[in-house]
Amino acid sequence: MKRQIPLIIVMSLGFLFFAHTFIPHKFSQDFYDWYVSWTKAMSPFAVILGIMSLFMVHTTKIQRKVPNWQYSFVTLGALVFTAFAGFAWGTNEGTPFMWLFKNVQMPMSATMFSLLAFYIASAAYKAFRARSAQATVLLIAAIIVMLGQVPLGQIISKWIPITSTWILNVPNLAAKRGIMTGVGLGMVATSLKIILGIERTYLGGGD
Amino acid sequence: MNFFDRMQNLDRRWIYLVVALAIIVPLLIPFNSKTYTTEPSENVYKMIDSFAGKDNKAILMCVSHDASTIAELFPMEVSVLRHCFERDIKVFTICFMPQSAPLVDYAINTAKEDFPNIKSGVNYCNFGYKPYSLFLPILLGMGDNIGEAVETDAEGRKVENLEIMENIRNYEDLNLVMDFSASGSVISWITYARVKFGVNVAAGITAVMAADNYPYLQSGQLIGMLSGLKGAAEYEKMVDVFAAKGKAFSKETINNTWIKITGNDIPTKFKKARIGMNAQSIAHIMIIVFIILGNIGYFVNKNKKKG
Amino acid sequence: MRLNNRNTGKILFFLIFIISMLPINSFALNDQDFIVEDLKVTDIPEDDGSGLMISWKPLLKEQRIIEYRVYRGTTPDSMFFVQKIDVNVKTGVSGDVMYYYDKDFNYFLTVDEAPGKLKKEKGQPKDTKLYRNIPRDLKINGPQLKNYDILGVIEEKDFYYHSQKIEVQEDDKTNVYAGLKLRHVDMYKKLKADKEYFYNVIAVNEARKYFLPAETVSGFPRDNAPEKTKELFAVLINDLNKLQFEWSLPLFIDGIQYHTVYYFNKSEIEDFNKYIEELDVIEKNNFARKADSTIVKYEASCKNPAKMIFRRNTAYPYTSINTGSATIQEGKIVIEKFGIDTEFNSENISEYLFVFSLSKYSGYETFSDPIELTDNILSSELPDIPPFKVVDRKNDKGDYNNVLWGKPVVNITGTSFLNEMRTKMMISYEYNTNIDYKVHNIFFEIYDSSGNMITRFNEYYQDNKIIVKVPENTDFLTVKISFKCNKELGDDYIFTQNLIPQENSNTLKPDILMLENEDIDAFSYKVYKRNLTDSEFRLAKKMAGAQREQDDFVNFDNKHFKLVGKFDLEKGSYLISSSFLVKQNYENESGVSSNLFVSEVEKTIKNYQDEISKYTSQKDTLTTEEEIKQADETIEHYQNEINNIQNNPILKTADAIKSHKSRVKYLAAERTKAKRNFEYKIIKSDGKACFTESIVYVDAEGNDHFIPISNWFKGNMLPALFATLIFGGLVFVMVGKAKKGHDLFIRPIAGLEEIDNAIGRATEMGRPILFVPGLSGISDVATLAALAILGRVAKKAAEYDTRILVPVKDYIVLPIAQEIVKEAHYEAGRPDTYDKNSVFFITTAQFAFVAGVNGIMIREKTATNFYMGMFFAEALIMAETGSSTGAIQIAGTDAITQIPFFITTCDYTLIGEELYAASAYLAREPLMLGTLKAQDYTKFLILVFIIVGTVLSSAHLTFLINSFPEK
Repeated sequence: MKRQIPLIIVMSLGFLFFAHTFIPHKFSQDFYDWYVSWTKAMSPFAVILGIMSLFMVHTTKIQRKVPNWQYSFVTLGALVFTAFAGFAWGTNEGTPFMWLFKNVQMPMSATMFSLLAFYIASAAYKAFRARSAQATVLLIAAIIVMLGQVPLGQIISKWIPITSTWILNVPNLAAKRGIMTGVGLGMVATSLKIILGIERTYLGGGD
Repeated sequence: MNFFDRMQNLDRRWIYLVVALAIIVPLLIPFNSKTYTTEPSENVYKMIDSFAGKDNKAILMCVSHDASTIAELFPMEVSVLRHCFERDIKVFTICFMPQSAPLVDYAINTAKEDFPNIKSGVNYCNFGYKPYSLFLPILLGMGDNIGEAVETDAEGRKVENLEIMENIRNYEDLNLVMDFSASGSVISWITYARVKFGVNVAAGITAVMAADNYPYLQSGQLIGMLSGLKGAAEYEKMVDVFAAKGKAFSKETINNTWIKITGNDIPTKFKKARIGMNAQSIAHIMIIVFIILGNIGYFVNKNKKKG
Repeated sequence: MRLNNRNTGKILFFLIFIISMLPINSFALNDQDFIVEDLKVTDIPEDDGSGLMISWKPLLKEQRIIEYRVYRGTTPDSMFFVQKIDVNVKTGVSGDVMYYYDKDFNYFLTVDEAPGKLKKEKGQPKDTKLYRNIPRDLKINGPQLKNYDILGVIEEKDFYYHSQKIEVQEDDKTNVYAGLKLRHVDMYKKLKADKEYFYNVIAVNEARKYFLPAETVSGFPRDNAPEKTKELFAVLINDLNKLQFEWSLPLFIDGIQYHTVYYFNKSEIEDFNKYIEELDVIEKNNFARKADSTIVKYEASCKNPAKMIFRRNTAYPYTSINTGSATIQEGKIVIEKFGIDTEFNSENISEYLFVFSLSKYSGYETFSDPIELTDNILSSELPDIPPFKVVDRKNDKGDYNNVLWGKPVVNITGTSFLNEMRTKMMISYEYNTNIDYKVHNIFFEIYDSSGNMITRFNEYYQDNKIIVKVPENTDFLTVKISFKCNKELGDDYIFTQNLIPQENSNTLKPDILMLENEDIDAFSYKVYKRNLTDSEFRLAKKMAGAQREQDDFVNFDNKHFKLVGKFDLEKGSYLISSSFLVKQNYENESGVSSNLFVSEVEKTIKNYQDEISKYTSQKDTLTTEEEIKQADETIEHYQNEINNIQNNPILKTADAIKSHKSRVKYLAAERTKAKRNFEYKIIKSDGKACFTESIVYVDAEGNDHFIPISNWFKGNMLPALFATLIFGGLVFVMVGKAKKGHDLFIRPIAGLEEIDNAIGRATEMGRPILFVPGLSGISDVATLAALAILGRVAKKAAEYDTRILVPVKDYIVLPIAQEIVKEAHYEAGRPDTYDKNSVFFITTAQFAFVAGVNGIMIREKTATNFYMGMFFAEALIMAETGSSTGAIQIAGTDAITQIPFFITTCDYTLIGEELYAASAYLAREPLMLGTLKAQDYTKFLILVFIIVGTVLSSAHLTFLINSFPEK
């Protein structure tokens, strides 16, 4: 039973929404709107699960005194304080919550994001080796596209920016579309497997 | 272990260091480099410049991005505004995202500082933030009557009573719309304003999104485009070479002119994109150099093994 | 820095220090400097008496103000928060004055937004007069209702089924109201004309310190004369003896009742001007008398010399028709409805001036500037309206009618040269058509300046651009464009457009588009509509001359708009009128209304009868003809109303229904039907009174009203349905085959073959495995695919007794992932090794999540990392860190932009669909393999369609590509 009830829910709702795609009638649209408003109500409950998980992981760490357990205090402290700041003073512009968001969260996120520049450089350094014929093509294409983006490319030859655009618009786009078609079909197949109950791993367990 | 071996097993932190320096140093110490202008940017400049001194022509700047992309788009907005202020071109600004409203103010204030005679409601007018639900009604309504469609400006004044609106009624007069965005929002201007009213549309767009808009440029639906920091740098240069000196555009002049960005002749705010472009160029070149070195090392080692 | 107790203490101390710094700039501020100056309240001109403008001088940029808060009240002793105006701290305010316009209907009270209790504003002294929003507490908000015009917006079902019958004793009469709770009524307010309102404004700075208010100011909203109309055009159609007018509408149409056109002799211009001047004096005198009752009323001395020749009721609150016409018959213009009977001699028309006026319900009238006749034309010069029709839009919910007219139109929108020699030119075009005409081919014939044909282009697939070869240095071209459609268009249906040089550009610019002799863009179409509850037509949409159809939105939802003025404290209800309009009766030009409560219907009839007898008895005592006429009209009006109620078939049927609920349900259905039933007409105009107005459209069956139909199947989705069925069928066939033991070949996928080895490696090294199931939520199919893989990996890991760490970004994914890992351990027969904390939530912030995952990789020294599912910009940061720790990495994603990053940094990458195939591949069950095989065959089918489609359309056969929907 534990497995069957969720399966029945998935299958029936799956078929209902499949039908919804083809039925524009008011009845079907109203049902959809009604359903969507319920899903919105669901996610706040899941937040509690997330926070509980975070608490459990870190309290266990503190109890067991695993290496660097002190950092868990920082995590929990930050969690409690941010939540408290939001509840106590609101989330308007100018409140402590907003201050934390702007002066702690945003700069730290921006820092992580800017790491990309460095990682791209080192990834490019490692990846672009002329190990084989294909790799050589990749290497040359990469250099042309990179040069095409800066004035140096123009100085070397006016063909570099033109070739760069061609590479992006023709072979690159063709490959992208090929992958996209596969992805689209893969999604349909997976959805179908789920609706038909062939794929059940998401319910927990292997089969 | 020779040099090439070392290059092969280079600790990635060296690469990080070089990239960091390649970006930071050019930003701190600007140097002169050549900026080549491309046709899409030139077309934008020429179109805007053709409105110079005409009181029955105006441009509209639609700012559709938030603070996360100001590095690329803000210098463009400032240069276009500077161009308009230098050449006495009527300019309107509008935005449909609440986050863009302060950016519009910021851009106007930045460009305006050097032009004491430029006045709101006379030389420029900021329509301010309008809710996105009004995007289509306003866009279509301006084809008929701008005053009716926009109603009030950012300062709450009734638009049709402003001095700037004299001889400006609809898209016949407001003949160029330039959309600055990090997304494809310019397409709406093309499909509604261009197709229905024949208004010229140009775009200022982040480099990542530029590829998506090339087809429109090709088909002539976009009269021009500034793409990314490069487009901004090109526009800055054109304003320096022509508008700031009161000259008309000439293709020969632009590619043969070097504008020095070192020194204090040009305020930093008007050369930000070119300084940024320096950093971007150096970083690209450094990566290319690394790739080449890595490959040389790879081949030397391979030969050695064979040998 | 190693963390020990002492260091932790230091960190915590540092954090507390930072937090204590937060409101640092709220110290040492002189509160007096933060009081706004020059606070003023002024009446908004040209409005309907519901608007006030509040202005003040913004504080300095250095004062770091973040918002201004506006308060309003009807006494200076208590003012409620109305609105905040945000200011950007960094840029400050660029103007010298800030404004807040308190006008139109705007928020007053709704259950979602109003606070429960009344609270004093923050940061104010104890005796402050400033309060926060008006609360839900009826004791507080109830008495406020009378100070405003409150519009209640009520959902249909709430009005019909949640209204409570409430009887109130008023002036010796018992009145019945519908009582509704706050949750059923959203209330919006408008200021009342001539009532005094008090305002105050406070500033709030960056640290959210609320400063003190300024001196309270007050003002009176005044009902003004309407705004002046800027444009009027008058045209005489000579052969029809008909005058046509067109005018522009002002911005604010609130409270405008009539549109009127007058004429007068040029010799009377001075009298007219005097009259206009006097209107101004009267308005000023009215205001002055309102402010000071001792001022004497100004008595009008001038008469308007202009004579009325046209009048119409507006469609307020909708946009009215802005054209009108008057026929001259026997030297007269007669419109009975408005008592117009004016001499008009069209011979003398050059001596006449025309003037347009807007008049308000309150009596104010504003005239436009007088104009002479714009044009004197013949009816043959008027534009032709193409045949138009109205049909239900197909494949929709039933909320659109499709209005369509004319034959397709094509126009060139731009050109550009594709090479430096300027011999290859791309011409962009757009075409507009409607469902009646399906365009098969568009033919472009291109001529040079001397009229020689350069080329002819057959555009069999319309992609909005053609590429043609032109002679070098072309600077003028003529393009003739024609169509081939499913219907015959006629041989002379050819568009001509010239391409002319463009200033400051080296491309050619399209000139005006001509069809025979008609400039297509010179005219526009205006679609007007009216439902069975409207008395006047309203504008549905204005369309450019090249447009050929319009989808007109017909709402399902018809809320009730009711004035809210009273409340019942005992029952906790707001009282609104229980009567409602069901339909319009066009015969006697009145509305057919009913009441929620049947007893009230009878009472209304009785009231009307009483009124009739009252007026009949009064009539004998009246002396003047005017008074008697008025009394007769009133009696007739009430008699009409009674007839309406007693004879209207809908009301008759309704009142015969016994059950209250069924009766209301029937009336509600009738009202909905009337609200959704529209009739349409079109006006084609050049904007200068040269227009033609169609009659109301009547279809072949004689219907003139159209109600959209809710469809049960989206016809345009048929190909998608077919494709799904084919795919589904293939799945069944293939699953059947697999079950029968057919060997289904599946291409080896290196990344999946390596999973076992990768887990084995972690086991050998005694280090944990990391599995990141993507960054998107459970509704993303990629996440589901990732979770399916997690199931297999976790089971293997449990069998090898290797720890698996699963950090999760989405909290809905968390319990599912936990359950999967737990089940995997049970299945592997190792329930004891399952640790709930190995599947854990980190954060929903993208980059913070990456920081967390990177930390885990480095600290735990994971031996194998799996990245499966959807990833964004963080992909490289994670994978590169993983690669630097020396872990074996296997990635799988359908995020195209991230695939290259994974390929460069991971050992194996599942590209796109391989991610979805992974689960089947690992399971090796017939059911799973069958689906995978079916997927392959479908892909093959798609490929066949792509190739066949390309070949066919290259041979001008477009039926195949056209049979697929575009979106």
